[in-house]
Amino acid sequence: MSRYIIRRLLLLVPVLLGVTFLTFALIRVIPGDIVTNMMGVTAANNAETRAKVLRELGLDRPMLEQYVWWLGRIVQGDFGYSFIHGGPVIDRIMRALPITLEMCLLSMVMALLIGVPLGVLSAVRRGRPIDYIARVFSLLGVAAPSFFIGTLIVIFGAIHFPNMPTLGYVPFFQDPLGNLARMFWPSLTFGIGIGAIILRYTRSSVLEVLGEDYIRTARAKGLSRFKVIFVHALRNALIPVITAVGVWTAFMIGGTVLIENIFAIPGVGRLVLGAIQNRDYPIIQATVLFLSFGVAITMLVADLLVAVADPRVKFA
Amino acid sequence: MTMLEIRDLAVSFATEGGTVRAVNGISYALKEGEVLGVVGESGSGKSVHALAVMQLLSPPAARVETGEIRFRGTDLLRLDDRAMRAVRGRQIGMIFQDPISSLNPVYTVGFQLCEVLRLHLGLSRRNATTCAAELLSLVGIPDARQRLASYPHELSGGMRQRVMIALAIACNPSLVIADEPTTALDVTIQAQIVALIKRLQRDMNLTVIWISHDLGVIAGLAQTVNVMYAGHIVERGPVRSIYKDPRHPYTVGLLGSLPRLDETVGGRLRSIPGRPPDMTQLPPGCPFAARCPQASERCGAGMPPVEDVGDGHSVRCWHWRDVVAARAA
Ligand SMILES: Nc1ncnc2c1ncn2[C@@H]1O[C@H](COP(=O)(O)OP(=O)(O)OP(=O)(O)O)[C@@H](O)[C@H]1O
Ligand code: SF4
Ligand SMILES: [Mg+2]
Repeated sequence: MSRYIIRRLLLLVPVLLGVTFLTFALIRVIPGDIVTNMMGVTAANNAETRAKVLRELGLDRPMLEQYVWWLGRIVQGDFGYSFIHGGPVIDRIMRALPITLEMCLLSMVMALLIGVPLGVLSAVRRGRPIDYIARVFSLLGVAAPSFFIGTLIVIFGAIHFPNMPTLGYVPFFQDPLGNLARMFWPSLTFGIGIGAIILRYTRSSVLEVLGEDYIRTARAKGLSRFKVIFVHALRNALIPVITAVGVWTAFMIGGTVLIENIFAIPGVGRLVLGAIQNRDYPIIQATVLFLSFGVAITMLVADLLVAVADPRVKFA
Repeated sequence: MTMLEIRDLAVSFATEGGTVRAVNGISYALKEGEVLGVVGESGSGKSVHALAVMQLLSPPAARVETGEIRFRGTDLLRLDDRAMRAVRGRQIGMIFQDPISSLNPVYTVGFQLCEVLRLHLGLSRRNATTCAAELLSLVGIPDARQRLASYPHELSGGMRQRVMIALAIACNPSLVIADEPTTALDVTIQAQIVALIKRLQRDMNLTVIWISHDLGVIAGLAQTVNVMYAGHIVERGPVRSIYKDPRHPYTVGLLGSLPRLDETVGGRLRSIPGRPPDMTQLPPGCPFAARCPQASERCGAGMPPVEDVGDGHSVRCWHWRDVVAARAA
């Protein structure tokens, strides 16, 4: 298994090279001017100042050269300095990343808590009221954009739980309860959106598995309905769900930009959004690198979990 | 002693295309230690009637319309779920057609065997493991102890069917229902599986319902044969009598010029021209009328009654005497 993991990680190298190179090229192509953002319009219009700033930032050199130079620094663990704030990029990322990770983790827990039990219930009570409720919920959850759900939740939270803060962020170690209370709402937003998707996957997967011959065998053995569902059906049914969860976690990492802005959470999403607005290249580049790495690791973990759940899967 | 007695069993399925009348009032009795062969074309209700005995048909689509299924005197249809679960796997074991898909792919053979042993016999984990290994040896799986740790996909089809057999007989049941247990297997393996079940039947004095398309196998295994058509038992009798002296035109068609009783392999059912009737719209008379060479006007008008022709042989045909006469000529 460790050989498999190592090979997957090695395969990651070309992927990350591709992603970072694309980012590198794209942010230099989109309109907007870094010098204006740094020094203001007057200074940016002064040709001499402009040339000096560009030279200092290394932006006067050909893009490929810039990229190779950047790569060289990254390999040495040097992520450079923010164009705008001047501080080391890694500091800013290290401050934002745990916040985003916490939110993603809580959201996924929430999504699983919503999606899996409802999906199973909806499948085993197919055609009954609970099935219709679950299906309507999943339809709405999938169809409604997360900013819409997010806004509803902010309003709902503010009205019905006036004592529970909905916006902003406090570090966990400073105020654990306050932290969780604030993280609850954005995680719920994600949890509803992704939980709705997991519900659909779980429902159809459970329904499919319940029609399998080995389920009939389990019943023919005299097992209770509970055991048939939870021992024999669920594990098989969850195998495809794990892959889907992996994909949607990856998707969620991308979606943090939106949610973090709605709920004013200073995570990676906000960091990268601000950096894009400011054309703060080093921050954007490093963040994209971290996020792609996170996505890749998530997929790897999902694949490993599938292998744990399904003995037929061989690490090849 | 009567092991199983089915009276007037009818099963239907509610489908989008209408109500499928899969089993239409069948009755028969099975003695302890008897091996019953059930033959008939695809769709004749063989599996459905077996699943009805096990009560593995899923409501609400499947419905037992009428009937009684008396197992050792108790009507299984009247048992609640809990009581029925104590019968399944414990008193009645079932072997299915496709061993590849009938074992749970994510659990080891040992787990799946121990599960049933612990459930019904209340064995400890340790004793269940020992017992499971013994069962695997009993069904002819070499290195039984090691095999307990195998997953189904690591075994061949024949080995998997042996595991299925081990599951079915694990708790020493009195009745075993085998629904085409060899159809999905290679010919050489088929003979081994038949021999295995034959041996187990003798050693454990099992009562067996053996559903098959293979008349040769039935001839070598069963004492009694039920011939099913469109959800009816159209002919039933001792195996010798059915093979040598079939009274129903459908049985005659199935057997063709076949069977010599010493024949053991290769006796597949002959195919009869025409197709079975639409099970959602069964004709009012004999369902075989459209394909029957003996059919007369009377056949279209009403379903023939069950007629006893002697020696425990019975038939449902208006013109069975003509069939006998035609053969004599
Ligand atoms: N779950 C179901 N829903 C609807 N119809 C069904 C269902 N199961 C069986 N049937 C129908 O019931 C009839 C009898 O089916 P059954 O499986 O008993 O046939 P069989 O004699 O076992 O055939 P085979 O030799 O192909 O196994 C068929 O017409 C079939 O289409
Ligand atoms: S009752 Fe008539 S149609 Fe039916 S099998 Fe007998 S002869 Fe044929
Ligand atoms: Mg069948």
